[in-house]
Amino acid sequence: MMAATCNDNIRARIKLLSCMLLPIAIGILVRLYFVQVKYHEEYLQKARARYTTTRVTTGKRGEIYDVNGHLLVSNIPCVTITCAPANLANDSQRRKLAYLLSRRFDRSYEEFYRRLNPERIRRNRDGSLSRVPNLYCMIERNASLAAAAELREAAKKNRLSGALFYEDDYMRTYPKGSMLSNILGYTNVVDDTDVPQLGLEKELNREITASEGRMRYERTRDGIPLNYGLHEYQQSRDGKNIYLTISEPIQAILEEELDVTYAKWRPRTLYAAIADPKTGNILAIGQRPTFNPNIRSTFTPEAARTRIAEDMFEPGSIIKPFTIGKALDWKFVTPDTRIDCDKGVWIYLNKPLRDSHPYDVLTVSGVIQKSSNIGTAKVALLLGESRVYQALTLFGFGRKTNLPFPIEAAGKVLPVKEWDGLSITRFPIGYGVQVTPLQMIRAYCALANGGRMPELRIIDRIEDPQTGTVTVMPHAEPVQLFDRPEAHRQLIEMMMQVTQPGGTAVRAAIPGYEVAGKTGTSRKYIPGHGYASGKYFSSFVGFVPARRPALVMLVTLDEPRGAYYASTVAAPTFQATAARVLRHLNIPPDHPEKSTKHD
Amino acid sequence: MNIQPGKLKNSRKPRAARQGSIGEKLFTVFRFAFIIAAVAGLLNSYIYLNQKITETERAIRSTERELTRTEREIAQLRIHRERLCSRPHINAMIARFHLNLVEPAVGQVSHLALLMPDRTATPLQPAVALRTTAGNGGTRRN
Repeated sequence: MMAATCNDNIRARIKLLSCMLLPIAIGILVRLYFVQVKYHEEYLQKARARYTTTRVTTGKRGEIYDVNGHLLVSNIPCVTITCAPANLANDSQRRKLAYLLSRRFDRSYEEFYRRLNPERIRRNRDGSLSRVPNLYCMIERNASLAAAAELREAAKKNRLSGALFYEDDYMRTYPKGSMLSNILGYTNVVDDTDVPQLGLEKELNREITASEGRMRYERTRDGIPLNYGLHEYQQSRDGKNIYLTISEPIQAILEEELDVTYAKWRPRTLYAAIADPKTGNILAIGQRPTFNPNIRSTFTPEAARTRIAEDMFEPGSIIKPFTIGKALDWKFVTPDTRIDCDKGVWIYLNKPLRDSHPYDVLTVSGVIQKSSNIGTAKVALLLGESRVYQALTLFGFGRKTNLPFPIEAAGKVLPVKEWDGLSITRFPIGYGVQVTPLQMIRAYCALANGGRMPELRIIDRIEDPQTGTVTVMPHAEPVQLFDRPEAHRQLIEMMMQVTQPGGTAVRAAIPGYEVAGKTGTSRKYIPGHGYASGKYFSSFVGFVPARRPALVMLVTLDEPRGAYYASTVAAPTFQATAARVLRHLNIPPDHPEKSTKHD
Repeated sequence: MNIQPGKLKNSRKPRAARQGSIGEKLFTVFRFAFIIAAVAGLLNSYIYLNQKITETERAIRSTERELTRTEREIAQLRIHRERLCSRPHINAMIARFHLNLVEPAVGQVSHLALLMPDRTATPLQPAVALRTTAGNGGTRRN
């Protein structure tokens, strides 16, 4: 027998080694199969979850402009500054940073020093307390770009950059301050999101709100995006921009005059609005008290509301032209029909109805010019209950204007079946019915626009900043409310006499222009208490130039002090405002020779 | 360690003497060198392009950051301009500098023009009343 050679031994060893390695190789292959084929997707997802980051980006909230593109609401860029105090090397750096911060922001050195504590106390699950590195503290939310840049520079110079972090942000801002604030509304920030609270901000929130975008990318350990690998990007979309029908210069004029009136007569509330009677576009709208949306301390329950849409009041005599107008239209009276005004006191159903001044007999024109309650009530009796109701509802009383405000009152005009015997003598003179200032503006737009009532508009167009698409809000076709143009013309002639010598609103007259309008002073009704003594709503509504109106304006004062007649408190505000607006709009006077030299 | 296989084949023939001219040999060497150079070149290009891509992307990111920063500054300036143009601010400035300004009378201004630094006027702009913007109540006949 031959002895095993050296080569045989080697061969045996190789076989043995192969036998040992083969299962290992097979095992590796099997494992590879499972890793690379069978569970490939699962492992890939797990891995991606570790090195893939998703960043949520938010677009900007839409802006609001006036009709000519003047900015009313915007988003101001700002920076949110945070700090990781644990990154500060020593107490000297902590003191230095606290000093730098206290120089730039509204907190004391001590406050910042306390905040920059490099350690914080954490409560563990078992209830025990332990000290852990403090990796986050808020330095300043919504800091200005200049302040942030200055701090960044100072921190760099003092080698403190590693502890500070800057995040770009936007803050809702109202560059024009309190102008139009009750209409525009405001937003609060809840969980880094703008939450609208009032006005157009709230009602148009769906259009204004920006949509979120997402960016998914593979990153390095330090968080830097890799150039290769997964990179998905879904762009955020900015909210739509809203263009109002408001004209900023006219709004500014109105606000200035409201401030003067508010200071002079100190009413509880003051409302005013100016509209274009042809289109129904609201050119300016304001109320007092108001607030500055940039300054939270000015927010009061009385001021931070859109009261011009929410509040209702008994309008008094400013509602008289509608009953008398329809009486003319339906040929129940003519301007020359004589009405016995019973020398100022008329007893009807054992209840007296009084005029502010005693008149014996007045024509229908005189009833409007002198604002006779008795004369108007007697004209209403000629019409009858159903026609008076028809006249009032025809001009939109009791029906919302549907302007985009979160809350709008509909007013109140009781149906005929709920009228008592006195209603027919009280409703036409503005008692027992409730209207909103906006409804009254709409109704006077109808008188100013040849009897055609437009729907009020405050949103002119909506612009998509991404696509540049502009959607113009449609104009509703005005509805003709007068059957006879002659009757409408006669009514306008009567209303022009109101501002002429002998009328109740001489102070509303504008030199050189023909002004048509009506005063209204009504006692204030307090629910549960009846008509309050010494509390009045004083209103003036008018349009100018009377025969080719450029604007309709309403002024209403709630509980003015010192005087209460509308001719004294409301008419001058109309005169001052309308004169300036006419000048701004370059509307030529009807009688240039009578136009006095402006001051 | 001897790893010579057990059965050595004696029948193995001796290698045949190399055939071919020197030119062929040189061609082979050049071909080999060319392939190596091509591969190296491709590899180099790949690395170079990758480097360029990285640099360009870095530049893009930097430009994007700069663009964002500029846009934010523009947005801030626009808001600042609107604040300065607001009526209360203008009134405050008029009062502060005692400017006895009065609004023009109706018809007094028909056109507005701004003087440029070289004293030339910008193209004539219609006065505000003559603008035909939708619904501002400004479209009126004179």
